[in-house]
Order: sequence, then structure tokens, then C-alpha cells
Amino acid sequence: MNARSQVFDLTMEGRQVDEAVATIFHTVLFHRCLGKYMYTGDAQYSIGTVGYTDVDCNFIDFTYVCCTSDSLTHKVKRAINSFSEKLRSNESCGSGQISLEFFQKKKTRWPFAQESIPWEVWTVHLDLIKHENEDERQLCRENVSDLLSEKVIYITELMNRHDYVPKTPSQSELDLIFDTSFPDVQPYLFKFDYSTSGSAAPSMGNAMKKMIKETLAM
Amino acid sequence: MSAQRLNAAERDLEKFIKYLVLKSTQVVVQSRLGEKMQTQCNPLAGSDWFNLAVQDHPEVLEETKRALFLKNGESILQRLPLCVEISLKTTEGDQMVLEVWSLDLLQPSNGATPAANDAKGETNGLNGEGQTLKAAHAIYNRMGIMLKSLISLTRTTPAYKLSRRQCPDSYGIFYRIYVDRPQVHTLGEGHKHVKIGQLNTIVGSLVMSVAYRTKLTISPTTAQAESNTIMLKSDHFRPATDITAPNTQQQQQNGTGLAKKLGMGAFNPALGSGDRRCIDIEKPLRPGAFADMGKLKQYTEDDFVLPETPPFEWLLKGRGSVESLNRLDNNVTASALSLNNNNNNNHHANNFNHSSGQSSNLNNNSNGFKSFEKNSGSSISPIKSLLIPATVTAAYRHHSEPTLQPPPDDDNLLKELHFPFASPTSHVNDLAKFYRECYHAPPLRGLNELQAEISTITSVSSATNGSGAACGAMAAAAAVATSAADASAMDDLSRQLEQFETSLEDYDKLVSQFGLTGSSSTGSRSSGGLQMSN
Repeated sequence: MNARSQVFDLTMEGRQVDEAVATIFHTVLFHRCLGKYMYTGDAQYSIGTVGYTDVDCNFIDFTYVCCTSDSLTHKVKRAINSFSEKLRSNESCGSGQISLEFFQKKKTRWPFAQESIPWEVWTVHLDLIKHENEDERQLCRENVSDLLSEKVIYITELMNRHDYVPKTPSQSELDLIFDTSFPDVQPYLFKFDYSTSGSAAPSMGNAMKKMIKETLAM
Repeated sequence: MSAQRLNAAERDLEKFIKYLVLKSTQVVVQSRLGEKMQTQCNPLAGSDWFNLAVQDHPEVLEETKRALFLKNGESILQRLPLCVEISLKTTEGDQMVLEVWSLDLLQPSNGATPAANDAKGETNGLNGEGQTLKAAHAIYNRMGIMLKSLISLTRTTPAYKLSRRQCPDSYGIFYRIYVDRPQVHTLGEGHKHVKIGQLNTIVGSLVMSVAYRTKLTISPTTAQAESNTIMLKSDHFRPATDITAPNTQQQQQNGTGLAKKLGMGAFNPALGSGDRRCIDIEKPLRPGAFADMGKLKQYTEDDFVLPETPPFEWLLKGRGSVESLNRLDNNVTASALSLNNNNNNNHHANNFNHSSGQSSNLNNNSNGFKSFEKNSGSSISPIKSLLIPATVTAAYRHHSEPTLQPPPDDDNLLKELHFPFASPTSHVNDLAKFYRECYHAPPLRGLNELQAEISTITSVSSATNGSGAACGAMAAAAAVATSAADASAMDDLSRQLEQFETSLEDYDKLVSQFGLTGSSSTGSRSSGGLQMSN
């Protein structure tokens, strides 16, 4: 099964990375979060309400919206932080990518692990630049803000297409589609993946590991 | 039965659309309130529409309902499109429409199309752009996503940043809800149009979109079109309507409304000439913003009256006062009297000469020098003064009588010695002292020897014997008292020149020696001058 894939290419300063990636991923996740399912019977359930929060960026002239969920925000932040630290580290040559992957699980027989089938991947590819002076930095701050506006518009456009999203399953199989670990929201199952060009060897290792895993899973 | 079901579905759909409209207006207007929003998740209660926590602002709800003007049982489908217009209004009254958010229902072009779409949608499954949704929950979820998109997008348009920065002092953001086609012509040229989402239903395609302004400058044409108050609004020049009571005028300008204030200016007959801001010396000066009132000096009328004695009178200390100076100048027209005065001045000058190193007399240096130069006519002319070829009395020089001998060129020299604002304690005085000492530096010993040689050759006049011979170029300066002395000085100089020219070869040799050793810039400089004259 082919997953939909979107790639955003962004160029910015190192300190803007966290907020730019958070803007894109939170906008996506906001659309991909449902209210908590509360089952009253086997087939009956009620859906909770999703709250939203405005987040002002510090290094970009921008405000984005995310779900009002501390645990979700924390999870996203942790993933983006470790990516951006690696991207901005000395070994890095200033480019890398991070992806948000939505997947659904498929039950398999005992000796093999559960299969994860991605159905939507959002990738942000980043190139870091350094500015010579404050004017340039200010200009770039505005440029990045315009760029993010554009991306958010693009995301909403995609979200309102009638594309595939997994169907809501019965209560017993809810975990195969949704991440039910959050107390306040219920996003589709998602994970983060990142690589930076400076750390080619470990990412290669990851790829090999993934290949072996996938072969075994089959 | 099928028709009944369809009606039930349509009714549901109408209800959904109605709530989508109500929530959309809430989202748009609340996003422009200028504050950060936060609504809480509620996993337990599923009572919120579209599973989204969008608070209802009663005023906005009221406004939306008023705009929709739905009578009992009337379908909302007939009341679309509904628009929310966001505009900016400055405190000066300039207005600018920033964006128009609209929710429209595109009716199917003919009766057959929905049915065809329907069939297609059922056969093709869920995928497909033009698919018509029938299932209530699918429409409901889609509307939820559309509303989320709306929430996200309201933060991206330029009006969001403007609304966050609004303050009552500069501008405010206003909204207007109306049922009509979106009036995008008010957005100026270059406005952008973004389609947030489209939802195909059995009653038509529900389209949510926004058109927003990209040029965020208030053009002068719009300001003029609004009213012609732009001329009156100019408050660069305060109308000087009431010069006698400037404070009350100030208060009026600050306190009253703009129109009233401007009206006062416009209809005042005194305005014509009053555009200039008059500085009234009788008006009490107001202190600065953070000035300590206690420390301010109160100026009285006495402060504006010039004192009898001129400022910087101390500069004339040598004379005592202006009166004495004037008297002096008047008196010197008669030569006999001037002699008397000169005698007086000589006294001063002698004093000065003896105490020239003391700072107490330095501030009247110009007077001191002038009187001193004339003193050089007497036999006691010290070496220090020799560079100044004073020929006339100082008293004459004070007013440069054309009938008398014209003043010599040394006025230029003396000008440099004027230190107008020097006081006995100031640093300028030290500078003056230093300058004077350099100026009257004792002659080089070598120069003395040379002079001694010259003096043996030249016949020196009686006036320049002794001390005058001790110094190089000073033969001229020392021969000052009479015109005869002057003439002899001229002879002296010419002889000196002759002497130099005859010994030119020696100098050349000297210079070539210097050139070989590659040192002594002074030697090369002096020789250079001589070679040029050669």
C-alpha cells in the first residue's frame, strides 16, 4: 500500500528549526486528532471534544494552532528537539529531514511483531543558513513566516481533500488505528523519523535495520 | 418512504450547515480579538459541535443570527452565502477592509448531476474528489476538519498579526457579518483568495473560502473619499487663536474631540496670520518634562534688561573699564596726549613683562602685549619680544587711525594670542601660557654664535646694541623706535642675505654631508629653502 507523502523544503536559521517544524507538524496533528472515544457499550461510544491553543513563535513572526494537550505537545517537542540538536550540532553539515508518519497496525501471527503500515507521511527537509547581519536576519524572519503561512494553507488544502483515512474500528481494534495513550486527545497512530546528512552512518544503520525488520516481518 | 428519508437527511444536513455557519463566525471573530486563544479538551462530554471546543461569544452569535434572519422553519440554504468581513479602523477614522471569510453553497447546475455523483460515489468507493457525501457522520467529520482548517488559517493571514497588535490608541479591528456575495472589491488590488475546503453534499457544494488584502497601506484616496477632513486633520501648525492664554488653549486641544478642535481652528478669523507659532517673551516658559521645579530659576523682567557693563568686561581688565578705554581712544587723536597715555601704558606693560609667567595677568594678554610692543621703543627690550617687530604705539593700533603710520602686520600674530574666554583658572590659559613660552623661546645657542659673526660684519644701530645683537633675526625687531632704525634694519637684512648667499657653497657642502648620513631633517629643510632661492 502506498502512503501519501508530502515534502516541505525549508531554509532557515538553526534556532528557527524547532518552531518551523512544530508549526507544520502541529497543524497536521490538529487535523489528525479526534476527541477521545468513550465507549458506553460495545458499539456505542461518544467522542470527546478537542480544544485548541494558539502558540506564538519566538524566532519566527508566526502563530500556529495545536491541540490543547500537554502530553501530545511534549511528545512532539521531544522528537523535534532531538532532531534539531543533531541538525545544529558540529558534526552536522546543516541539512537534514524529519518526518511525521501516520500508520496503522496490522495484526500478525505470534512470532512476528505487529506490522505497521504507513498511510500518510509528512516530511520537512531543512537546510540551515547563517546570517551576516541583523537586517538579513529580520528579512529572513519575515520570509520564513510567509513561507509557513503558505505551508499551513497547503496543509489545510490537502486535509480537505477526500483522501483515505483509516476507518474507525470496533473498540477492540481501536489501538490499531489510534494512539489511545493520550488522556485528552486521540490522534491517529503516528511516529517521528529523522536523519541528518552529517550522521550518514547511523541513518544507514537504521535503514538496514528497517530492511531486515521488514524482511522478517514478511 | 425514500423521499421521507431524503428529507430527514436534508434536515440533518441543514442543521449541520447551520451550526457550521455559527461556529465559523465564532472562530473568525474570536481569532481577531487580539488575544491568544485556548480552549480545553473535554474527553468526557461529547456535546460540542464537530467535537471541537469553540466557545460561543453571545454577541457574535446574536450578530450571526441577526444576519441570517432565519424565520421559524426557514431553511438556511437560502440564506447563504454568509460573509464575515474583518476591517481595520484607525483612530483618525481611516478604514480598510482586511479580509472576507465566506461560506457559500453552490447549487448543483441541474437536477441530474447530484444523482450521477451519487451513483459514482457509491460505485467508486471513498476516493474521488467530486464525491458527494451522504452519510451524516462523514459529513459531520468533514465539517469538523473544515472548521479545524479554518482555525488554522485564521492565524496565517496578515489580519491576524494586525489584530494581535491592535490597541485603542492606534487602530481597532472590526467585524461585520452579512448575507451576500463576498465584496472582494473592497480588498484593493492584488488580494488573495484561498479556498479552505469544499464539501459536496446532496443539497450542493459547501465552499468555505477567504479573500484577504495583501496591500496593507492605507491609500490617500480612500482617506479622501471618506471625507475631506484630511485638510483639517493636520495639526502640524497649532492655530494661534489665543496668544494671551496659551495654556488654556493647550488644554482645549488636548481635551476636546478632534472635530471640535479642528472646527475651532477653522472658523477662527485670527487663524490667517496665526499659523506661525509665536514666541511670546511675556509668556512664562514652561519647564521640561522631568525638570525639577524647585531648581528652576524664576526669570523676572530684570533678567531681560541688558546690564550697563558689557559682558566679558574682564577681558578689558588692563584698561579697567569701557569708559576708560573710550576715553583713551579719544585722547590719542592728539599726539601729545597719546604720549602721556603711552607712559601710563608703559607702566602697565613693564609690570606685565616682569610677571608674564604669572597666571594672574594672563587673561588680559592682548592688552598686555599691545602695550608691551610699544614699550619696545625704550631701551629695555627683552629678548622675548624680539620676534614682534612693533613699530607704533599700542594706543594707535587700537583704533587704526589712517592719518598715522599704518599698523604693522603683526596683528595677525597677535590674533593668535587672543584667548577670548580664558579665565585665570581655565585650561585654555595653560595653553596660552605654553604657546607664549614657545613663541618666545630663547634663541638657539648656535644661532647666537652666527649672530655674533654677523654683528662683527654689519654695523648695528645704536638702538639695537647689546641685547638686540644677541639674537639672530632680531636685529630688525630690535631696531624699532625710529624710522632711522628701521632703515638700518633693512640694510642689516640685505647684508645678511648677501652674507648667506656668499657662503652658499658651505651650506651646500653641509647639506650634501647630511644627505650622505641621511639624517637631520632640519638641516635639509633649511638648505632646501636656500637652494630654492639660488
